Amino acid sequence: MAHHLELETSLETASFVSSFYKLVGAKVLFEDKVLKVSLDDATAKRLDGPWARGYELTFVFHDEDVGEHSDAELVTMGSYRVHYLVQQAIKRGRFTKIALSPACITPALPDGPGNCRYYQLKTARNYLPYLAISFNCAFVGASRWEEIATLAVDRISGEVYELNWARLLPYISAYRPEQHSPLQKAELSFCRSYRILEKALVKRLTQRDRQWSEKAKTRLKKEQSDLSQYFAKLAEEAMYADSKAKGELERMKALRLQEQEERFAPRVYLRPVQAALIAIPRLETTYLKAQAGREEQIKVIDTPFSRRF
Amino acid sequence: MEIVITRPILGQSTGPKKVAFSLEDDLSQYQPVEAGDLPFTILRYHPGYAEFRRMLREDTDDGWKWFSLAQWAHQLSLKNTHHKLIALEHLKDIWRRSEVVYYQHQLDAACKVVHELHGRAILADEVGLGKTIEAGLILKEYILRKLVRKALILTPASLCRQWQQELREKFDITAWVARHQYDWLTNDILIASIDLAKQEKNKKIILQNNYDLLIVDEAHKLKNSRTQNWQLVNAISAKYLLLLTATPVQNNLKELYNLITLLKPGQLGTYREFKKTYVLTDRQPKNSEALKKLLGQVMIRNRRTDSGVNLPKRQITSIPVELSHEEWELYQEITEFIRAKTAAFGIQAGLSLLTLQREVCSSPMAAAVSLARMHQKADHRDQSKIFDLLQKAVAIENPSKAWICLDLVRSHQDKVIIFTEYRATLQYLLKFFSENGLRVVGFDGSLSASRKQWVAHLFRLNADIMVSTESGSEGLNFQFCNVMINYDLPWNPLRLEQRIGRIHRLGQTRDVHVYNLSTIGTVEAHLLRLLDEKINMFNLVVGKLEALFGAAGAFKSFEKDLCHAVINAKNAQEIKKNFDQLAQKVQEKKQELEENPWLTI
Repeated sequence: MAHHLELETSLETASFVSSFYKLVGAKVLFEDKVLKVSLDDATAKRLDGPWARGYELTFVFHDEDVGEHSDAELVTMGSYRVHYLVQQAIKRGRFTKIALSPACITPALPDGPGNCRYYQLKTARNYLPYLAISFNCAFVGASRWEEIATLAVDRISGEVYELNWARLLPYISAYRPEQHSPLQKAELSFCRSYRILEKALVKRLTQRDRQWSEKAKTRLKKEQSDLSQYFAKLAEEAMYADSKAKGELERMKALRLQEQEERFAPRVYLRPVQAALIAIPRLETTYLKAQAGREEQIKVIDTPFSRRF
Repeated sequence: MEIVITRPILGQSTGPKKVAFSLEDDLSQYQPVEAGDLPFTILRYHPGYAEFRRMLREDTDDGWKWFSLAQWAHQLSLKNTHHKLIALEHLKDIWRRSEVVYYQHQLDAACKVVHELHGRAILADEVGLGKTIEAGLILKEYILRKLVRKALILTPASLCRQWQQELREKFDITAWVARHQYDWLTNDILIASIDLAKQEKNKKIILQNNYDLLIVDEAHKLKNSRTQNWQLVNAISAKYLLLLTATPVQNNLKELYNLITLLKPGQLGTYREFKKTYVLTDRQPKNSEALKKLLGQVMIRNRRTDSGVNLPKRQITSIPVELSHEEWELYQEITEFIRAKTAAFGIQAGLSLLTLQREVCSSPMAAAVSLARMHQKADHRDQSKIFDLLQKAVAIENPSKAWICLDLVRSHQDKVIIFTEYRATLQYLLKFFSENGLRVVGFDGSLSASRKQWVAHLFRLNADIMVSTESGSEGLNFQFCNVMINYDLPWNPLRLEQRIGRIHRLGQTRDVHVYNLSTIGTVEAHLLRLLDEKINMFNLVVGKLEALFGAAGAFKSFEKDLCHAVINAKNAQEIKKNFDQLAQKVQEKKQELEENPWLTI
């Protein structure tokens, strides 16, 4: 099982590295567990800076493959190379304009009593302007970890949704006005939309499990109380010391308390790392509803996020 | 009637995702967010919004392909955090390529500091167990975890370059050695000598900075809380602090108290409390189990015996060299000259001339350089005598030592490092070996740092021999070579050990051969007898050697004691007797160390 996982991980790593170099325009050849990448001068300059010249790289992705290819670079999930490529990719893919294909909506008849009949009268399709932001949330206490939260806001209604990019992936394409129209005009400015998302994220943070912060806070309190006691005893022992020495003691105490604060005080750093303007399809279908001799027209609005009658 | 059904199709939460690295953070750019009464603070990255707004205004579009690759990049980085040491996985290939050998105890130490001791610890491994690797690993781990951005490394001046090089080569960390005042402000990872740091103008800037990590190498120099060194380190604001020393206690338990207090004030209480609870005599603790427990919360000490680190064997061979008639005559005349001067002008005059005697044991060329200098300064009464000695020194063309050395080199058919104390000897040997068809490089203190690197590189790639003065005995590692010749002997045993340590260290895979050349009947032969036969220095554990001969060891300066032993003797028998007395002192100190292990903890 472990070996299987390892293999899967190394395959994913290989796939990521290969995708990256393909995207920068390098020649990529994957043969016999070895990935060969060759960059010409222009590509190398684009990737590494104006001083760079073309070069060739050979990668293997599993410890076992190193033996046969001792000159090759071993690239694993946490290795320097992946770290570098991850940073590069993150820097190069920060902002985009995309659209979701209407295929992401599976139109369905509204729920209702069994004896209802619906006749589709007309359908209309347009696009809603959304703003999606991925935030990096760094939780810092006695330890530090990070999470990514992606939220999207409807720039007309101001409603906020949590996004899962992986599930959207098959439906995404670059935004083209001629293809993705009509796009409704945004009523909320970029600034306003951004603030709504930030506020929504803060709200989510306040609602989640706080155990980690309670733990860090308790630790901080204990450390600071120990430190204060120590300095109190020192002050007692130095009762007859001059005011300069006493002042120095106070300064040291403040310094050490501040260091404790930096080490243990629980805090969350929020930083937006990716933003996308998304045209989200909206399907408006008018039905004739027939039930027990009574007829009425109803309108069903489908979006990837909600249905509205 | 309007009924609203909200059915999220794509908006499902994916749960917490941990990422190991992303864009660099500058914490000063974060501002607190008003979020009511929470047990934690929320801070938002202030320029974040503006960055995206600018992209929008400029109609930037990174393109969906890059955008989705970036998402994938985020996902990938989530997968790495299960490692206890992210740095280890990160450095795996770099270490494989540069043949860095690491040991489990080093990884354990780094793990313990990061996950249990929360970044404040004394790394007190015995010498040669790789404290620098541990410290570098901790620094890298914190950088990758984005807990350290600004770090200061304080080391003795002679080790600054070594730290810089090791951080670059082994940890892919670019650090700067402080030279100018602006370095203190502009560089995030800075290496500085502690002496430079405590200069008033620099100290002022350092104390204004808030460091994420402060590393102090050779931290036993902080054993006295009244010294400027201790007070400087105590006054620096640093979230994490690593103190590196192989000898946390050298003379008394107060030294240990001072180190621990620097690291974690209050850990051992006030000094009065510490003394009352844990000190029996200056050198002996009471309640030692409780004390050890407290120490374990802030200190990591790996011993050679526990760590399973077995260095290859060290084979020491002493090679007596018989001086030619001319060389012996020169040696005798110089010895007489020194004795005459000592008799006339006292011990101080004799001491200053003693170098001449040591030089002539190394090579007549080394003595000739000093004699030429003396001749220029001497008054008219001495000038003729010195000129006479100078002529005799210059006349000796091929010293016996050089030929024996050549035979040794040829017998090994491998790379050889030759150490000498004198640059004139070095110059002579470079000429001598190249005339005899060997590829040789020279390494001395006059070379710039980059040239030193270049020479070391040449030695690795092309040369058969590297002749080096003492400056090569610090900072550079030559594990690829396993033969060393001490062309002459330093009078400080620690320096001798340092020379050997260049090749006999972690990473060496073959047995190490050390040859000590000593000229028969001279002071050099007495010295070798003392070090090898009497003190058994070459077989002492390195940590013990430091305890014996270090700055605060049994001797104020072992080298000075040796000089006095020579200068106070009227003949060879007396030198032997004086050296025996010194050996006796060393034995007593050794005995004391064995009886009281607290002195080496």
